[in-house]
Amino acid sequence: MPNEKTPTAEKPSFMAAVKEKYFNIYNSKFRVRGEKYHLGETAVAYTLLTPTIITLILLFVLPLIILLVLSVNDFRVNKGVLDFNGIENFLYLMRAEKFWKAMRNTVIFAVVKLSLDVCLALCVALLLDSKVWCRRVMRTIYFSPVVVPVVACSLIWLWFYDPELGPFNQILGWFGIEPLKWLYSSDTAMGSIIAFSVWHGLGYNVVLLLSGLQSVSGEYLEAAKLDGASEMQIVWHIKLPMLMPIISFVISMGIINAFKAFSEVNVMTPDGGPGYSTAMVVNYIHELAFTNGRFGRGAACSIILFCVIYALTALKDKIGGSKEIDG
Amino acid sequence: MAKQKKLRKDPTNVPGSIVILIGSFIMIFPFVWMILSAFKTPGDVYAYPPKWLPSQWNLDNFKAVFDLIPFWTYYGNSIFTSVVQTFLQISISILAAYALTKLRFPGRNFMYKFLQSSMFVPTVVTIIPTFLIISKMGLVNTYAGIILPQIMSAFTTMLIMSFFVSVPNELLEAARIDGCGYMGCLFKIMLPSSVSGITTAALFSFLGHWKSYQWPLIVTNSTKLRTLPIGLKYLVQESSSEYQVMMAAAVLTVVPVLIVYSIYEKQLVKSITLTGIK
Amino acid sequence: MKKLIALLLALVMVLGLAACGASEPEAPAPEAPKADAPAAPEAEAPAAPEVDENNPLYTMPTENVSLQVWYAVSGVTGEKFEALVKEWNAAHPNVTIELSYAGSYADAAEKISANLLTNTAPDVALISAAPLYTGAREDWTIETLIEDPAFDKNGIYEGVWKYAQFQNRICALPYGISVPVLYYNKDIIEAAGIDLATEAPKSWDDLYALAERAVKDGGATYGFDVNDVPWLFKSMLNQNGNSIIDTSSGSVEPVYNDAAAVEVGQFWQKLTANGLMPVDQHGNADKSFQAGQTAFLVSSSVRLARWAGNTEIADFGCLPMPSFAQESVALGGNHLVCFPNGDDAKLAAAWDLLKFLMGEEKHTEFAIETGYLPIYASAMESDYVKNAIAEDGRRQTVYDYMANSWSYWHFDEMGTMDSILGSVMSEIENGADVQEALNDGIDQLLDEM
Repeated sequence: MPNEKTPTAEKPSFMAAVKEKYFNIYNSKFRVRGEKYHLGETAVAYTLLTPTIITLILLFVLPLIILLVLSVNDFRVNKGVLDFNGIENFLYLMRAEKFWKAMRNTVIFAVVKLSLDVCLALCVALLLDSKVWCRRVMRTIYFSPVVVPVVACSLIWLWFYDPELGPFNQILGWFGIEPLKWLYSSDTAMGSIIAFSVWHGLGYNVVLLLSGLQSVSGEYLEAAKLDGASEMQIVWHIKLPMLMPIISFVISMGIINAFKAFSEVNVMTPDGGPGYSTAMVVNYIHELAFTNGRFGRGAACSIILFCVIYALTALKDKIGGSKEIDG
Repeated sequence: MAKQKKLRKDPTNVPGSIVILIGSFIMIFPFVWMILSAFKTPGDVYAYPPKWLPSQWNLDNFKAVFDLIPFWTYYGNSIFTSVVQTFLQISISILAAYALTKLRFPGRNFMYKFLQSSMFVPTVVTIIPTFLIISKMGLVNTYAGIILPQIMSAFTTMLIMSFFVSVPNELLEAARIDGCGYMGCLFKIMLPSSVSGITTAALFSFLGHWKSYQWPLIVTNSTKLRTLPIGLKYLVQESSSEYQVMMAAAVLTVVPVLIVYSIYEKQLVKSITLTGIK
Repeated sequence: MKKLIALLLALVMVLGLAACGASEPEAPAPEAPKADAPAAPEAEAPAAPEVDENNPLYTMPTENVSLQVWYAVSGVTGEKFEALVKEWNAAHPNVTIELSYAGSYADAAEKISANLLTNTAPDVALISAAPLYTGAREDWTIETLIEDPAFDKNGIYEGVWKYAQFQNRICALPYGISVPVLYYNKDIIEAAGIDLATEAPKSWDDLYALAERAVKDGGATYGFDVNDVPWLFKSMLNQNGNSIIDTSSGSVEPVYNDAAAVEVGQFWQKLTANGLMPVDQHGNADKSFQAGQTAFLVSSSVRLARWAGNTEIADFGCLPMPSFAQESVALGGNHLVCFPNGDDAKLAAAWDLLKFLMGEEKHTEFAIETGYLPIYASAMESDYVKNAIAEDGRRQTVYDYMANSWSYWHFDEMGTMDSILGSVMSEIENGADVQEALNDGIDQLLDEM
């Protein structure tokens, strides 16, 4: 529904209506850059916008300013004074092994988690779109982890991953597979976090993709079936292309969300996992600022994170995952 | 031929059903394990190989949870802060969305872009300065401190704008002629015609607040202010990582949520679909 | 759209630079209130503060005050601490106390430092590494307070006071003091045919041999494991004659990469290389031991009290810590501390609470019930402690550790050093070259400093 809400599209009729009909009610008018406005309407509008403006300044503009100031200062929690140090914070990050590990972890997390997530969600959605037993109940089940706070689920999975007491290694044992160390080895820790994350977030994507599939017009499918297209061909040539916008939305949002991930790692491996193999960028920022008390470094890292997310968002818009309402 | 096909259309997809069923077992397994384990004794937990069923069903672990943490306080805090945040966020968004879609004023485009650009700065980026601001305001470890940074969401405003845009202008014009003021139009026309959309946005926003973790973790200090996710995080240490106690706490957290969810599943799924595609 | 964002960013930057010029008001300045804090730091600081027996802070105020108390200990310890605070509060109804559990040591440290910055720190806290939040901020309040004639400063072991120092000055109260203790699983040792009465491990090589037998004959999954890697590693370094940091020049210099350190590192590597100790899995060490899969475990002395009554877990005993050249264990644990915020009545009440908790009788009661160590020399001779030892002989073994306990200064990057040591040891366990890994660890720490 992107285009119909373009404000400019309705301007003429609105303007005309205003000019004709409200002339007598609000006769005080003023001009800005050749455009006529009604004083009363403007006043109402800005009153309505006041809370938004205040919160935006308080929670968006001001934090950004402080962030920039902090990032070029050595600001230690236990000293509490700003000490200008130029780009030293950024240089520190470039040198810090943990920074690159956190970056690498985040990219791995994003790529692996998303590929798994999209493939699985697509399969589940396609199956749920066909005639299967108790579809409603199945959808409910697949979606259920999404509504539960990450922390509560993490508690359960912490046990699953226990190398000695957890059921996962026991199950592996039934198949004659050597026990794994899950969260306790740098080889498997990230995989464990990803597996948990896929389980927790799968339902969200299933629901999105399913809604896309259900909007695929039945006539198309009917026609394809009449032409003797096999089920696979229908999926490949009709359903998938129709789903592309949603898939690309899921992917781009998934990448951006991966860069915002924090809680699962904070609960399951509070210190960043063995060999710092699970810490994400946000965990690293949290560690810099709140564990080590170096707000300056934390701010510098936040700015880098912001640039990454901004670039990804811009890329997403360019590829056109979701059309923005643009003025 | 065509008719026959139509009649036989969509036979039950048996192999697919089986796959889906197996998958659903995997999805639901953690919850089953959680419920079973909440009743286990420490002996069951430390048994090797792991026992799947408790040797005897007792409620000790639930008692331990209530001894360790003020569980209902956490629950109350979570509900209270989520509700207030959702209410404020939706109210602020409605006012702004109305002004931005249906009123004409100088600077409208600028305001719109100002709002839109804030979407590019996620809260994880500004969490350090936000903490400094909130503490300057003396709001660390208060409900206001938990709530305030989360009452503004450009996303929600944009979402509500998209509902408002589809309200025909003729309707508003007619109302204006009947002597309805700007605010009257908002309450008598805009809101009633977008109720379902706004509910959707509210549900989505509530879900986000209900699950929020990092900010409350940073801004709360005292036990009585913690929300559920934070309380659970601390429980891991407080219970000395006793799995069975953690499971009892998880049951207390998850089961009510799942019950409420199964009742409102339809609306929630609708809101996810809507907000996702937007 | 994009233009706008660019514009906005530019605007923000300009404003940012402007704010930079006048930056002080932007950033909170927590230093300010410290000036009004009663124990003006620099004024009466150096070495021996003047003793003013009539210091008003030594008297419990009668007016109504409220105290925020945070504690970072859980389980039995948390309950006991809570009970003691409530006991004091019952005797002082004019004080309203709000007790909050502050999570693990790491969680609590985050909270304390962030809240010191924003002046929302608690009045009293039970945390670890407390000198980093007082002395490191030049808050020497405790130094004055412990001169209170009603406080038996000299009754506490000299070595324990060391654990509460920052740059040679006391700035916290040592409270829950613990040492790493060597535990063993009785069933495994028996099954392996080891008689500890005659072959108790003296050196680490002895222990290595026993661990090997425990795996081979005793059916243990792991011969040896350790819960807190940096803690034991530092103890081992000191046993081998490495002081970890060199403070002789007045500043702190890390030295954990000499030949002695490499020897310890190589021993460590031998443990994992031969499968006697799990790689990287130490966060789970206590659990595996409880589940009866580990023969020998080094973990905090508080586990003794936590596990003693629990019949559902493996039966265990305690042994003296094996050593390299000399016997030594690094002290660990937590401190009590108060954070003055300018309100004398509050501070005086906080000190009264601290005095109560630190009193010989109450502290010993706390120690016996929680597994921490008694810190009063005279307490060791008391009937109370003797009875406790009679009840559970393992206590004697643990208390004997105190004779060889050792500690070093707290310094700013202490926590960072532990986390670096943790990752260095993880590399060593994974087969890295010991010397290189240690050198790398030194470089990392120097960069942080």
